[in-house]
Amino acid sequence: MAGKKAKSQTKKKSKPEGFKGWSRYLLIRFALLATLFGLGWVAWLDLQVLQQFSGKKWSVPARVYARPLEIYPGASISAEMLTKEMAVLGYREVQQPRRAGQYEQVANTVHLISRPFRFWDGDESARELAVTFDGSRIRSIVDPTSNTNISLARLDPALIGSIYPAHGEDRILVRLDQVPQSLVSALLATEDRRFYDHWGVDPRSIGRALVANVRAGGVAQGGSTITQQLVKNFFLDSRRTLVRKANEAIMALLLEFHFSKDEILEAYLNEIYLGQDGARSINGFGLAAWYWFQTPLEELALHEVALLVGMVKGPSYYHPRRYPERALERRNLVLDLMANGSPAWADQIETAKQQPLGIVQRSVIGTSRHPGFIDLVRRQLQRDYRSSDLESEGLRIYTTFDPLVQRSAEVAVTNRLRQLEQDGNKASGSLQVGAVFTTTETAEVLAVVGGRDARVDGFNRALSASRPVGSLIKPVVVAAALAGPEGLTLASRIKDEPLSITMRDGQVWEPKNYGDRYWGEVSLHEILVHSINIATVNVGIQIGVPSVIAQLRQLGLEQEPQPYPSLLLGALEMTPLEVASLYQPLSAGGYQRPLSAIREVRDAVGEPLQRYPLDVRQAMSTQVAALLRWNLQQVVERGTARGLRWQMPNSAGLAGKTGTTNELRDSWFAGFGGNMLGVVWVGRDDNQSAGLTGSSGAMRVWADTMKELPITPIVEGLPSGAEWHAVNPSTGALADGCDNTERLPFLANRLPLEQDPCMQTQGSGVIKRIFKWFK
Amino acid sequence: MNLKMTRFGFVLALVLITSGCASMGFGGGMAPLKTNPWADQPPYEWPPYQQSNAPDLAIGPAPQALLAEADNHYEMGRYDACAASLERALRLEPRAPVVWYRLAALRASQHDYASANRLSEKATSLTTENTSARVVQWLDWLSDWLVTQLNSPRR
Repeated sequence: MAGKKAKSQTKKKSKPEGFKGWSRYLLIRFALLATLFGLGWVAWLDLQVLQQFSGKKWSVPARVYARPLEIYPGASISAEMLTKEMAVLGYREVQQPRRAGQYEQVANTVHLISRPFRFWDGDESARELAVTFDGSRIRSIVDPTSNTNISLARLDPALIGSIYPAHGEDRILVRLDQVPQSLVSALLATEDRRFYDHWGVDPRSIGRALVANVRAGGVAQGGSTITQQLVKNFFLDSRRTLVRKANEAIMALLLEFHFSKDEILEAYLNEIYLGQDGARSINGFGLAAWYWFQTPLEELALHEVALLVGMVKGPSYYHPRRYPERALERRNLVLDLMANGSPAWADQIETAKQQPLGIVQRSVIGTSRHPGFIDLVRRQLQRDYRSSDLESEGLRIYTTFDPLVQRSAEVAVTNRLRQLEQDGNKASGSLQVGAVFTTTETAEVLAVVGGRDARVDGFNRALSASRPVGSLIKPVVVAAALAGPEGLTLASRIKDEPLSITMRDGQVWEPKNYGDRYWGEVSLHEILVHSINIATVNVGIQIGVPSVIAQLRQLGLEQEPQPYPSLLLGALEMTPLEVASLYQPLSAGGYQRPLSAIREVRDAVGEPLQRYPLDVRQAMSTQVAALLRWNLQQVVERGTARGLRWQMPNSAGLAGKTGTTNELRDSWFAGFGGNMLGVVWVGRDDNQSAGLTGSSGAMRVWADTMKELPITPIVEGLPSGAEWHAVNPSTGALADGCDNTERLPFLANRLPLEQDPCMQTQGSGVIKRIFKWFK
Repeated sequence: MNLKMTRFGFVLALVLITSGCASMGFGGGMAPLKTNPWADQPPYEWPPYQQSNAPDLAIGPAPQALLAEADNHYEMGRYDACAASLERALRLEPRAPVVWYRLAALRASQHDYASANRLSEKATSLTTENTSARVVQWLDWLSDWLVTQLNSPRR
């Protein structure tokens, strides 16, 4: 340098002379530039580190929870249902429950320890419960520690999915103080023994790896610290070039400069890649614990923790399902490293090494399990929240989803469709399905089936497949008739003969009855029981198609259909969800509540975001609803849905309507009991004939679903304003006290005008005479 | 003997007749119910609930416990939690008039009269001859009161 100075002093701005001079000059310039460039590069890396790492480190999706199972004495919950629910929740069956999330079944008693959970209206603490069953009901619930009776308890709700951000990742965030100590020990022992001592890069371990690699003639060991791995995982892709490694090293140092060891470790625990679930990656130990073991991280046993730690090095290479021996070997190596690292674990290691891998048969987290229902949740949220909030703020959404109903529906769909295809010589996979199950009074959506493969996150037929509803519309026609000013009752006689209607444009419409059968004349209630087309059209023409449309709108239909007579036979396209919405008031005394999939929403720290308050709207009078309900019960009792009576043991008192469209393209069934409503559509995506009627197709699926569930019969009598009367079945005339009559419900202020002659001569005559005394 | 006695006798007779009528009361044979507590202006109170630990409310112990919880929340001014407890009770007993009634009453106390009216009508539609007379009466009072609120020019 002195030489240079001397030179510049003597030569001022003159260029260097000679090769040596030039090269030194250039070298210095180059060195300066390189340093500047280097500093700039480091600064840029530093910026990246700070940006990514401070504040929100990654987008946390909204978590979606099912309804919590409420247990109380008298509840229609069997031991099997309770254990199924606990399986969904990841509870473990053990010899003697000692911790939350464990249970044991002995004879007809289930002894469990529930997990604590913070609900909207208060905390439910972990509780030890002994639940005793009496057949398919809970007989008693006792707290064995205090020997007190419990009148009501809530289990924690099942996690059923997430609403993902665009890049398809998912997390269950864990805090460092929440994770098991075994995890930290295993991790450090295996991946980075000197984590707490180095500065981000560990030259000793690099050196060791180098030696090992040279010996092995290839890359046998990485020398990466946990910090370096975090950088690799978080920022950069998987190209392993020298430049990458250099960047990685620099960023690791920068990371250590800005953040504490604990912060880095915590980020690592939440970031590290531990598997793939289709298009979704499994990142972080919290999620991995659920994915591989269906258990929360805090509840993992030593050998399970060791397996996860072993997978860090290569989740595909050590995939426990694909390469179980390799995974086992790796796990045991981790256990050995733990024992070497700290004697505290030594005595547990041997037992742990004896354990099998312990992973679940099928991993079931995330949207991949219940896309149909999650789709509905997303739609309902989109009305009220920004998409970006949904996808990044870690919302907790508590829904109405019932995993037991969903499971029953999915099994029913799979088995029944296969059966229908076999029996009907149809191509395997040609039939499709869309179904929705809800409660009646509270209008909560329990389950959604978007297609025969419920795991596929594709076209959601339950919410999006608009199909002609066919005969499902007939109850609406009857309701409009009963409520309208024409004075029609369930006993009114309606013609059912070949019919030909000339439309305004000159076209002729000739509706046909199923099987070309003509009844001559029927009572109004028969048109539902036997789904009689022409009689329905006659009623519809008498009251006017606009009346029917008005009734549809009253029931919440958003469309504005054209008043064509074909509407009377269901030339109206609706989705299964819309049909459920239409039938819900019929199952709830005429009071409608919009179907809801969400009970409450909370943000990532548990603060409430919005409540969905319960409100109802009267869609039809209670009396008309009661008459219609009775009529629909007759459909099951002796009509087109009577098959239910031998298809399920609990069909007593249920109501329903079958629906079939032209050429058997669509098979529908809408049915309800006291507590549950279900709508099922079966058909083909290509709209060809499915060869199924409502009762041979959709109704079978409905029955298969409901026979496993505690659907209750409808037990209500008539409300005030409605009353029973006997009528002459062939004339519809009032015939109280006579023989050979039919007993029907009527609106009290709308009885048949005609009285059968038998009423003059029989008991009613006595009553009349008695009345005369009081005149 | 004189005017005083006659007046006394007159008053006595009046008292006897009135108490006789009162004891005939509502629902035949039941204790006389108090007069409508909401005849006056709001603030809307919830008195019938505090007064009744009525076993004739015809719902099970589990929803009963939730109604008590709801009461507690209401007392403490936690109206959202109150609604949540009531809705929870409703899921267990979706057709109990008394639960729908309470939701209606809660809504009314929060000045959402339209919603309260709908819920109250729903509750009424569920009453049967087995519904306790008390609940029927409360529903009557509530709907009367709501009608006046909904029809008054000032809300």
